[in-house]
Amino acid sequence: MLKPRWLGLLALLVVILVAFTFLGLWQLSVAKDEARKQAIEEAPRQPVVALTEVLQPHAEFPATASGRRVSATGHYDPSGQVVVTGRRLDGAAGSWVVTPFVVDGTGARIGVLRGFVRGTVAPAPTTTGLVTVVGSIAPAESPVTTAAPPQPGQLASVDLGKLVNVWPGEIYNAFLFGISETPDATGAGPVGASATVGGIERVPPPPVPSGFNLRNAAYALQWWVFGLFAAWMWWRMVREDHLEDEAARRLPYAPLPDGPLPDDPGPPDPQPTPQPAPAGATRS
Amino acid sequence: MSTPPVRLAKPAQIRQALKIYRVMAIVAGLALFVLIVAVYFHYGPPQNAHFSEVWSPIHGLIYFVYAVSIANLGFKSRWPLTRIVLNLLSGFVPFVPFVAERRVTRDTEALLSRAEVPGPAAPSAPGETPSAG
Repeated sequence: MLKPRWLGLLALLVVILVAFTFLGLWQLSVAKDEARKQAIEEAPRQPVVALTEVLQPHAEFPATASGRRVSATGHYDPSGQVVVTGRRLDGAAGSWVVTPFVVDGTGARIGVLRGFVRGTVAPAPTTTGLVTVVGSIAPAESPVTTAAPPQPGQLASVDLGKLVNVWPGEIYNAFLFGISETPDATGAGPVGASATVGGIERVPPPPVPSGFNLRNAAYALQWWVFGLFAAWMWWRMVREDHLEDEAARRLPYAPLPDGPLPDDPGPPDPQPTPQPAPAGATRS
Repeated sequence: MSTPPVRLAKPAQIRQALKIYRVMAIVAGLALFVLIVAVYFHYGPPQNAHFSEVWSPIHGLIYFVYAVSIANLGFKSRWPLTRIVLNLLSGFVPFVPFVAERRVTRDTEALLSRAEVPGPAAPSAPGETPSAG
């Protein structure tokens, strides 16, 4: 049976549990954010590998490749350029400019996200000559079915299933977030630079999934452990109280002494005689 | 009988809980100083976050063990809840764990002597003089 005091403390416990749960979740999100921040800071220092070492045309996108820096040499194919509508960059609405890039050696095309434009009009690459592109590799996006059918040259997502019907030749199951080109065929400058004459800005590559910052993850765990500690305290107090009541009920007049009990006097004599008090029972 | 039916733990259990508590109070008190130094390094002039990043979770763990040792001793000695909570909070204030440790030790020793010395239920064996030393 719960006394009002325990119910009040139970309410307090619930408040503590809810608060600590949220504090733990908050620390968990901080842990993710910190790891993200670190990953973003470290991303430019990642080694750049050749695209041909990471992925072959038609091959399945390797799960661990996402976010890796790759370089590819070849030329742009401006005739296959598309814009992916409904994108935002720094709060501005616009489109992504995806241009097929014919990779030297394989002759297969890989989509290069050259940048972001406000609106849907995208500048073509300034050269169709030999270019070396460095970008962050990403798997194709899922098809979007809810959006209204886009106009020709527009897509609702970087959907390679659609592009494979538009682009000739073989295709890589991936696209690149363009980071730099040599020579510069886009004129967008580095990631983060404001829009230039062509109105095209680099799109920062998505951060590599980077797990947790251990310290904040430990804080999250600690909040939850302390929540459990509070729950244990409450349970323990209620139990102690209950046991105390039980003891009081069993022994209404005096507490059970710690030591051995006085000798049991046994069944009463059939002929009542004055009994001497047991030796151990005298008290001051 | 004047004392209410209080269910104290056995004196040996209280003594053990006190021992653990005293160690943890000293460790937690020292860990708090280390944390203060770490926070100074992090946010003070040195601007070095490394130390505090390493020490903060360790301090959290130490504090947790300290908290459990307080609750353990508190339950066994039948402290009121407020006393347990105040002792838990004491772990956040520099120096206070040391003060609390002395006071708790004194009070617990007093409690143990009350529980053990008169001992109406456990009289000393005949011929054996109590408190001979």
